[in-house]
Amino acid sequence: MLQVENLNKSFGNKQVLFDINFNADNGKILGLIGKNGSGKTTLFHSILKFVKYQGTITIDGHSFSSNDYDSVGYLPEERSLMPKLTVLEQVSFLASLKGMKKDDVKRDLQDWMKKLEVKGELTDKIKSLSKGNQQKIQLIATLIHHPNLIILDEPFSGLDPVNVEIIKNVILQEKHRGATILFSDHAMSNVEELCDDVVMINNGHIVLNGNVNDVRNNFGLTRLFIRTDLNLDDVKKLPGVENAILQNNGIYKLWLSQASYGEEIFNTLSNGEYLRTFDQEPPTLDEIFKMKAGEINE
Amino acid sequence: MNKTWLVAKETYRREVKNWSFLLMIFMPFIVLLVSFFFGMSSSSAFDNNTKIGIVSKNEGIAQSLKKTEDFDIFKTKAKAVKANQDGDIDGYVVVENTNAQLSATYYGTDKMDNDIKTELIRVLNTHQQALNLRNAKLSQQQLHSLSQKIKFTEKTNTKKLAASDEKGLKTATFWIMIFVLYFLVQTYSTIMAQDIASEKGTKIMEMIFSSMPGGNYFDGKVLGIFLEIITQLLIYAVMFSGFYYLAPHIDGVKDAFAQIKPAIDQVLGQIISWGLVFVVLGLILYIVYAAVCGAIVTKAEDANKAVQPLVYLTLLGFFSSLSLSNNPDSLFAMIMSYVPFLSSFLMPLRLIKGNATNLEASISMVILLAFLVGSIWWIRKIYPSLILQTDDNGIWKNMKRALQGIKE
Repeated sequence: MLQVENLNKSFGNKQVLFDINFNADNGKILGLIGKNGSGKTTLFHSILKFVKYQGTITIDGHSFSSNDYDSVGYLPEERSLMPKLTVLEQVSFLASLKGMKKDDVKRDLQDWMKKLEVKGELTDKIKSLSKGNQQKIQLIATLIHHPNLIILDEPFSGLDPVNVEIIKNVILQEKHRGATILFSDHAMSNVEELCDDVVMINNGHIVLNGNVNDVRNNFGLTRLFIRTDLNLDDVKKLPGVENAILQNNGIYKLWLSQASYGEEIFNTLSNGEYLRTFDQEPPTLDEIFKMKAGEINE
Repeated sequence: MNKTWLVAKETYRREVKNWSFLLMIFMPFIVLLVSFFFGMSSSSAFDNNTKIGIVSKNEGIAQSLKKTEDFDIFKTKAKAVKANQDGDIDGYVVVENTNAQLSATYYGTDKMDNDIKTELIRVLNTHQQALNLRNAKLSQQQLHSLSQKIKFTEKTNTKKLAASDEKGLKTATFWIMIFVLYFLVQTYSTIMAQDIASEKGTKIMEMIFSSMPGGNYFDGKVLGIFLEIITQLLIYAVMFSGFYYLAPHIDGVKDAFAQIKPAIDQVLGQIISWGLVFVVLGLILYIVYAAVCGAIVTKAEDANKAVQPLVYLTLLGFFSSLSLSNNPDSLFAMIMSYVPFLSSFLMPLRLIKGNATNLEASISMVILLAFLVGSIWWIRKIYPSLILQTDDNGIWKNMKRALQGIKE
């Protein structure tokens, strides 16, 4: 388990992280979300001891030490490998720094390449691979030594939807293996789909922290999705509706001031009749993030 | 396996596998060989093609000259003239024996090549000598007396070198070492800086630093470059050893080599000295700081610029030792012989000139060693901060931020 307590970090006179506290449990995925420059990467760098900081960061109860290097897998935000090396040379070098033997790397690397559907051979030069495949090789180099703590800084950036799905499956497999996984992403849908817990950072402050479903539910079932013959103006006049839009799929999305208005609207619209679509949900992480970021900015 | 060693191995493998390394090693020899062959081909262009016809009825002369490739034997002058007209030979010599007097007349458009002429006259002289002896009708005893040859015995003087000779050899050894230091620093400071700067531009460094402490990675990089330097020196040592042991058996080289061999032996005997200690420590210092220069810049193409201060320091050291070689007791030389970076050039000079004592050399070495150890300790600390900074803030701002990184 990773524990971060009272973490503060400054560069010169500029403080970039303020009293950060959170836990990341074994076998769970923690999503770190925040705008660009909010301090996510600095937080990762602090955990990995790339930079000095004030506060306490412990892994399984002890401070990060040289013994922990081999049990950490880190995928940095930007992708880059050594272009002149072959796939085997590149992964072997990085994996050997994690304590793996070359024969084991060669054996496992082929399995990983199949699993991630990498189009290329072990002997191919990195520069001859497509960007997406290079990204997959870098992810393999991050995971091949079966780390207990996995830190992925925007692992899906630049990937097409098919490859995003492949990598999501790999991340879930690592979770089921029991690894503690931290990852950051701008696409909240990915965080909602994959993460058990979420930490939302804005300007170096944690603005939300907790289980993803709990966080969403705490905001109440204030999003309502309905299909009706009413026009948009009439929908907006329904009780408790703060705003409404007609989505491309013909379903109205309504923002309610309180969740309890849902029942009243249901009764009004159905009038004892069948309703094809009536779905009341909490706000998405994206909406929560925008609200929270807005609050802080205000 | 130790991670520092893994990094050293990878750095070494990458550098040595590079074509530029092989080119760097062998280019001086390629240039030498090319210029040698150009020289040979231009000087011997005619030798290779020059053939002289010999017209002689004397079988002995014909047989003697036939042994070399420079001569073709013709039985008649007409055949030689035709061969000359056809361009098969460049001229011909008619050898005649008139009353036990050999005479040779050369016919050709160009003058006869000197080497060929010497060989021809040598052979003809031998035959003329034989004719003379035959005509003299000497007794066996007279013949024996005339065939006496001189007795030549070579005795070398193994006495101890004169003090002036020894000083000269020490000076030669010093200049060889200083030149090697200058050459290695000029070459490898750029290689080191470029290697690090090219890695710095990649985010892979973050993956590496999540696998090992940045200071250990720095150690590995420096060690890898030193292995490359050692490889280059070993290749040269092997080539030199090969030459050293083969030269006495190669015609055309052995005489010249025999003359310089004693000097080579004595220079080799002088290598283990104070100078070597200063050169080795100085080289480590320069390479370590070259790594910092590479880590400061954000683009690989700026590495050459960043390493310029070190290049100027080496130039200053090299040319100071050149210009102060006749004035080693100047105040500048005395002070600078204690200053790291320059002491590697100036303290050995002062020692050779008898201007510094062993105690002074020891003090200078301790200062250099302490500075080197302190530098390595400091650089190991700031190295990760320098490498992880990819913002193009300029050299001094980057350095300032790296220093802040240590404090915080």
